[in-house]
Amino acid sequence: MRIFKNSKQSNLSHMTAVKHSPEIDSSVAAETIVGHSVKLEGDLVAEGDIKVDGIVSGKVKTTKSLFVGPTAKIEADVEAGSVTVAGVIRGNVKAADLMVILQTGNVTGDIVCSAIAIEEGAYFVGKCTMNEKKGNGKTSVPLPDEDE
Amino acid sequence: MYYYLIDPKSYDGKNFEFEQSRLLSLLNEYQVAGEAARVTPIRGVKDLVATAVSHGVKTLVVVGGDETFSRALSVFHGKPITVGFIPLNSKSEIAKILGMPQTLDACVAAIAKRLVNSFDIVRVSDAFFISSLSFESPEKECHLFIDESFKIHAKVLGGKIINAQEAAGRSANIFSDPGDGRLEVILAGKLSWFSAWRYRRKFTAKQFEALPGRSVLHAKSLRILAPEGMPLYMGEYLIARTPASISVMDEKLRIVVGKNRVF
Repeated sequence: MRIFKNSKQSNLSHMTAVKHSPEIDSSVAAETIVGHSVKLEGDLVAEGDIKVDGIVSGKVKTTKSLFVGPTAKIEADVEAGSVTVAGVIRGNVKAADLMVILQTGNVTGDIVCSAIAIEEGAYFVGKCTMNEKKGNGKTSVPLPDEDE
Repeated sequence: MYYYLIDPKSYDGKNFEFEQSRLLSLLNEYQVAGEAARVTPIRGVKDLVATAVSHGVKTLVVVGGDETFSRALSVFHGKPITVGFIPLNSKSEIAKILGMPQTLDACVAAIAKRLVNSFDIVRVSDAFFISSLSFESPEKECHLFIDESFKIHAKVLGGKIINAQEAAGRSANIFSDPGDGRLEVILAGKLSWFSAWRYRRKFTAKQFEALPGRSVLHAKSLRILAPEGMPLYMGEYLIARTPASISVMDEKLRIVVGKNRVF
């Protein structure tokens, strides 16, 4: 019986090793990068992550994450899954998840997001609207009336 | 029925006649023999491919270089033909992409094995290619119009438009799937003196995707509007000049591949 158990375990470990062998995952949407020497005018719509280090005017849209580099300047409305800003955005931002404005970030426009984090030294002028959190309305903290 | 189009000009060895006779005997040995036609000054690549198509050939094997393949592609694209490729020189990028071995024996064995994949065909002006295009514009601003959706104005050192690329020239985080219907557009931005010296070998080898400050965009079609007259190269072969329209065609190419293919 021990022999059968050992052979089964060795088969399983072999299968595990094969499963974790590194492969290029082409199903993951590729990254779009706008370099520092590039000026883009128009609608930039991508399926994967977007990284901007240049100048973009028009519209930027992705379902994944958008990173605005320190040398970047976006004069456009932005829509993304999550947005991280270290450069300049002049326009409205709509983030389905997290919006982060880093210390060198400069945002002028309205923000709609689920969560926001603004570092000390960041610049933000506009209105911020948070999406309502989905929950059952009950909180774990007991109310003062209930204690008495 | 197999049809072999043989281009002796692409051969970079010493004795082409010996190589050709060896090829024909290997085809018999692997039972994939068929009609063989040699490219001459009188009957060029396009004439021979048109003849093959008119004869109802089902499998056309191009025996030559990347330029031979590109010229043949302009005739047989869209036709119900399975294509094969046997490289006659060591510099062929298409051979490396398709995983075709360097030795003649192994190439014929791969053709006989008949492992077929679908490939995107890319049209640039009046020419066609399946690998990649490159250009250099160190002093001038490039204007591109991508997917009829946005314009790019950039002062770049050079750029590449990739459908498929050999493994050696590929950066780890840029994977070009030749069957996804999209092109990768790489633009190499200006570098500082130190970076230019540090990455000089990669720039000389046109590995723009490995340079810092590069741009990576994805497109189904694009137009290179400026600078005018800029040459577009497929490897070392001048394929077109700007202004040029580049787009992925709707029809796919059925092509025989080797086991060492990069996709």
